[in-house]
Amino acid sequence: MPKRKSKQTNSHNKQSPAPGQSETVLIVEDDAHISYVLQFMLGREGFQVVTFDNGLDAGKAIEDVPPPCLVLLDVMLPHEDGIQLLQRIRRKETWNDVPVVMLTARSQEKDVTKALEAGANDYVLKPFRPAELVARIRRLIA
Amino acid sequence: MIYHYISIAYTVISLVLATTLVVRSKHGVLSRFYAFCVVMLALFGASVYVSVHPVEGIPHWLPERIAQFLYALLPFFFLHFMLIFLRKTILVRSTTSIIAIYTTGMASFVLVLLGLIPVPFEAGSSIRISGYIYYLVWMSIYFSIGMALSYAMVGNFGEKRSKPKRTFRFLLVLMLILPTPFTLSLFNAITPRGDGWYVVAALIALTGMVYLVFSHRVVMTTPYQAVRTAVALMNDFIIRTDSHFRIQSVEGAIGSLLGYSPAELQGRPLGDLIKKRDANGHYTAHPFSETMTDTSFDARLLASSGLSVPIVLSVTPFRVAEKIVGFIAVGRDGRDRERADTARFKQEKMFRSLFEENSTPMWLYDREAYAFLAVNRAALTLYGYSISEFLSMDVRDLLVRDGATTAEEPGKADDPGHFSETLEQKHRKRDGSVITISVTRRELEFGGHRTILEMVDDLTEQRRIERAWTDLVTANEFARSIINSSSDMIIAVDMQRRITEFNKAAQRTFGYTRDEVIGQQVDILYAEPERGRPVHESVIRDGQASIQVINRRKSGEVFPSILSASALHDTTGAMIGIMGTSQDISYRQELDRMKSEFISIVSHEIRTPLTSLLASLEILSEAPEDQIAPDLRPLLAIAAESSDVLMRLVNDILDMEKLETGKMVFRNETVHVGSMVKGSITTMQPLGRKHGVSLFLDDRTGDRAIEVDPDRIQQVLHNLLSNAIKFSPAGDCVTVRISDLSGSVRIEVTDHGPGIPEEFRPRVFEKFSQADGNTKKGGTGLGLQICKRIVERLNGSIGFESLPDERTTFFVELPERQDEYAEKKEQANEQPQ
Repeated sequence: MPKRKSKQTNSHNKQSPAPGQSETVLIVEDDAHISYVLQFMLGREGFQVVTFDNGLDAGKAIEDVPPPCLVLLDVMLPHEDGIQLLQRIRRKETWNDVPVVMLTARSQEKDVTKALEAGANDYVLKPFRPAELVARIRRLIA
Repeated sequence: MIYHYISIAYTVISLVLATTLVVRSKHGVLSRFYAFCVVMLALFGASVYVSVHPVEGIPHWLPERIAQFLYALLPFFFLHFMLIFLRKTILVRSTTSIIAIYTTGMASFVLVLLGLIPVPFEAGSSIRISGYIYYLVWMSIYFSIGMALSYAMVGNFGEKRSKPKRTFRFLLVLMLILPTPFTLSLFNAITPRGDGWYVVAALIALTGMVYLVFSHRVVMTTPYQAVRTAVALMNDFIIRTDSHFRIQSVEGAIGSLLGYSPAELQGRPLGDLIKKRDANGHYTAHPFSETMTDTSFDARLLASSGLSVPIVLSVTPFRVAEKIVGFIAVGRDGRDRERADTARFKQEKMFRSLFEENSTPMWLYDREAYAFLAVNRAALTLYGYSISEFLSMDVRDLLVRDGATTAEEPGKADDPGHFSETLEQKHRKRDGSVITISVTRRELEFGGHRTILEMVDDLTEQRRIERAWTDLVTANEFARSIINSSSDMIIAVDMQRRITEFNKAAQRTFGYTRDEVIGQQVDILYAEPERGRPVHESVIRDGQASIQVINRRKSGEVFPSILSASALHDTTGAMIGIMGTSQDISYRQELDRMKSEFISIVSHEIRTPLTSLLASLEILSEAPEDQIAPDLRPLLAIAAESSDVLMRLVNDILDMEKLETGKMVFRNETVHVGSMVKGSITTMQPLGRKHGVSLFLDDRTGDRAIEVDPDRIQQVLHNLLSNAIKFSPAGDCVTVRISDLSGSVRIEVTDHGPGIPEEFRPRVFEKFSQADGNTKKGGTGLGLQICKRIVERLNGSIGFESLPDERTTFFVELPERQDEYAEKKEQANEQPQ
């Protein structure tokens, strides 16, 4: 049974519904805390957030569910890494023009090159500044 | 018709003569060829005869053609003789001669057929005088040379070549006008039917031939003549004496050997000729006795000049009816033999002195009896015996018979063939001391005996070096304990690269015990022995060496080590070996690897929680006023700043690690310095504002392009700028100046802070160095070290100038883009022309 955590995170007091209220962002990140911070941030910005904590479940989702408006992918993931997921996305017809932002560790600079070659639209080095990340996401889905 | 028979007789005699020559000259090539020529000549004569006097049933053209052909071959014969003669002297190659001969022969035949060479005969008895003269010239040359050569061979069995006598040559010419068809024709032409003249000429020629045969002893008529001739042709002489050794007759080369004429010796006793025994007893006068039988001996005979000549004399009694009536003494020139003896004697003397004077002690002994036959001076010196003492012993007397050496009795090997072997023995000298020697022995045939030559190599010198080792290493237990207590491996080898010392640390590291390796080749310690050898060579050359090598433990496991080796000397300063200290650096390499891995894992593991921490704190600090109590805000700021410092520290450590291990990736691209610095300043403005410091840019280059990794240079600039800002007093300014140096761009960051204390200056670029000893400015202590390494990786330089309390300037100089620099240089080079 896939661990699928889907949350509507607009419950915080912030009531500034962003322009694309119904827009969904898919986050694949194995660290629960980072995942939560991202969810919190994006939820506050008015996005629907779907998270996965491993490559296997994320891969299944890519095959089964309709494409989101943006994907945030960590590179290092259990089972199937971010690069492989990215390649899967780019292969799938319905998903292949979804913007993808890679989250990469600063020490793995090689991953950035690999990710861009595999079709990533942008990348953010961890640790990221929340405001900067939101700005990049906004730019990609505008 | 008589001349026809004489003509045939001439031919027959020619054939007999040729056959005799062939027999006498031992079937040499020359004589056989001569015979062949005579046969050809006879055939020629016959065919000419038939062509001049046609015979019923034979077509007249056939003998004519044969005669013409053989006539044409005359130059061929001549040439062949010439070439054979030349081959004897200047070695004309036979293929060359054959080609020349046949070419000439065929050319001659063609010329005859074309009528260009006159033919002396014509069918029907007529003759051309020009053709005859031509024939005569050829024949005389041909015969002269042929006979001369034959004579030279037959008349001399030695190597000397004598010329034919004048009379002999005259007879040869005479032979040419012997009865032949041509002489017949000639006589017919000048005297009508003058048979009488012809007979006279033929008789003269026959007389000449007989004289020729007998006067040159070519044909042997009696055995006595044969012996005489043989003796005459050799350098021997025969003396016939009566039964009282009184000389009766002398034959042979006595004149040339001793200078006597046979007549003057007649009647003298043979003994008078013999030189008597001289003072050294080398030559003996043979006591001729009337009862002696066949005897042969070397003697010196007195020559007429008074000198003596070595002669080998063989004396044989001459009996008639069992009674000795006289003696025949045959003397042979003994000078060659004497020369050979002298040469052999000299050679023997040379070998004897080679043996006698050789610095290697050696001796020769009888294989069966073990008795010494000869011993050289070096052996006498080594053992201290006199020659007579030595020769009175046998080889076994030298041996020290302890358990180890009794089994090595010399000559015990019973193989019938020659052998050669080397073994180590202990010998006792005259004074009783024992020496260790290495004996190389070899079997020799010497005067019919089976003997053994032994050459002795005194190992005492080698023992001395070994003892020096013992003195150096084992005798001094103090040194030994120092060596053993060393945590470094200490290994010493001698000049043959055999291990002589192997301390405890080495035993631990390699897993060998001391006894296992002492005396072994040091190669067993190397995984790649060929990389160990240069150590030895460079120590011999330079006195010391230091190298990283790969060693092999007893278990087979390999490990890297750093080896420092230096030469060992004895008290006289002579090199006796090499001492090496070595450290197993496998743990060090492993440690380095673990450190890198640890740093990378830890940093990564720290960063993951830091990521969420930083992001959460930032979100929190941006929370609306009413959601966080104002007195809690400073705590939030502290948390944010501390985690920021932590993050930078982790990043710096990672960067440092990457720079140190060379894993840092540089993505160089063309960067415009001005724009890049402007960007850096913009990024740093918030920090400046926070410290109340303003930033200024002074670009004097007009945005020059350089080839760098912009991210890395930004990192450097951020570091320098943040340092400058942090150390500037509030309200001050930091200036960034870009200036153009030849071939490089200089970026200066100047602040007016307290400056760098004098004592700290040398350590500014070191790791974790901070002048104030703490991190109150929020630095990690790695920043400048990282800057330095990055700039150096980009082939630039970094430095600073500091005037305390006035200003401090950090500068970075980066090379300009290569192509631009090269262009400029080219332009500079072109200008002077």
